[in-house]
Amino acid sequence: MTRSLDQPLPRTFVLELTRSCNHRCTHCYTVWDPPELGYDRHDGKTLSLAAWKKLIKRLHEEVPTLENIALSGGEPLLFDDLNDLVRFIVGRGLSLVIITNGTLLTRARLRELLAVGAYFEVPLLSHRPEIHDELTGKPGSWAAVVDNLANMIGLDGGWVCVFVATRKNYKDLPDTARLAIALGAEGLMYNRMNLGAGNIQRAKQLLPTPKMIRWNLRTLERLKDEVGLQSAASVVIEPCVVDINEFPNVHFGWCPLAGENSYFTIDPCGNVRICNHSPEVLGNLKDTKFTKIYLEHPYVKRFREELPEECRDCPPEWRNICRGGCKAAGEQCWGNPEKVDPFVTRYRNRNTVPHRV
Amino acid sequence: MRREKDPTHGKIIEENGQLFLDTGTEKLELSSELLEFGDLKKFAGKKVELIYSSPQKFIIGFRPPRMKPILCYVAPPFRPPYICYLPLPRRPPQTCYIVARPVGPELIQETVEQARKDLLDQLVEQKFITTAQYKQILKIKDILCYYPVQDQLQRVQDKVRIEMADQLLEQGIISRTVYDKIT
Repeated sequence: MTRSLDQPLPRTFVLELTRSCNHRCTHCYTVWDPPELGYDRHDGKTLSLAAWKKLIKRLHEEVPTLENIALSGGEPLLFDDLNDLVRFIVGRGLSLVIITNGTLLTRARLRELLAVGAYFEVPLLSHRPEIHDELTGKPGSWAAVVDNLANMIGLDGGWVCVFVATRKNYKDLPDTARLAIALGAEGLMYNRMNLGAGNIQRAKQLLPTPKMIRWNLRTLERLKDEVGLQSAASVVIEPCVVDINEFPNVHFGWCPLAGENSYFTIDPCGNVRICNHSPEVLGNLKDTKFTKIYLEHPYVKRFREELPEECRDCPPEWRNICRGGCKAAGEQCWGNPEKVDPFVTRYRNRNTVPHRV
Repeated sequence: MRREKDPTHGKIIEENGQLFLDTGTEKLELSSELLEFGDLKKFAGKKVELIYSSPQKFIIGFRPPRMKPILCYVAPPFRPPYICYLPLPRRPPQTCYIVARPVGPELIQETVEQARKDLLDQLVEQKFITTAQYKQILKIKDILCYYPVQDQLQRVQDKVRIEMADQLLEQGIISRTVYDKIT
């Protein structure tokens, strides 16, 4: 197959090693649980260590631009052969991050994983144990994660704190960030709650308002000025909802539109999706080449090209980078990635909180 | 990232026309995008200091005063990645500009000459140097060297971090056990 020259291949993939998780987060958007998303029909034999290695090797050969792998789940530390897999990935010259809830990251486990080249992304949802535990649905999770993260400094490990902002914890950001800094976090990833899957029905209780988000962004600005904490907003904060020009110190992320900066996601059975938020399975890497999906799949083409109707009157300088916010959230909530991110619908147009129909 | 058993020094050796870093326990091929082989060869037989690092981004810049130049490295991801600190030249150039900021992958993937030019263009644009200095610097070839810079993400300074830990302990947010571990 001839590769399209105007469509560079991606550099990053997310591997969902397992569906199992020891948390029950209220804001979780994993696509395989809600029956209405119909993900179960894609069930198959889960990949063993050997099968993952084979898949990664083939993928790396097929996608020479590949640089980064993120290991996710479920909870990736529940994958039995994690150390071997990490060693294999790092040994191929790829950078690696493990997205974990941190409660199983004991000192011994951390030491092993650091020795084979791991880096971590760990959520710290509050400085208050009761709030963190309420959001994770796991009593004792705050104490476990704080105790585990405290080992990072001594073992010279690197990690980034993930703060998922909801109505329940947004006020805790300043103290949570201080806690993250004290525990040696190298940055803070600020994710406003993103609607999808099981959390849609909790949107009214959890989805932060633009005012709350602005308050949080001001905190991040201040922390950058005062102590140099780097922060990034990964889930799109649409400029029509919050004026992001006010926050020059925060790096804002946009949907990579299934392009070179995208992070196509491979589930535990080898199914490929555009990202970890998207429910749409595009094929299985056991029998389909990634480049075929990437360059030819009609869904991918639509995902790249379509602009939601609501965004057509947006100034081009914003429209061209925002493209309607999180398209996967549009897909999850409206059943169509060509619809605007429900966060926009909720707060720009003052409509009701969307529910998947 | 250095572990107790890791060596602190190594020696540059030449074998069959190739240069290696001999650490006493390992022999690793050296790579340098900065020096011609002939120039690198001058270091054969020299003892070098080793530092240990995670794979990290590098910036191409000019040697700040009193900083040892890093002229070559054993590329990540082979662990542990060594960086050779080679001896300072006897008379360091007087024209030194400090360039210490993160660079994107697009810069480090360029050829050295192009990267050097790109960097200078940016420095002029950002008014770090004047156009006259730009022209002058372009003529100086031999002070180009790699500096490891921290990734864009880095820990907040220890002093500040520990102050925060003190406050958190006082407020009862963290336990004494956690405090002791992180300080």
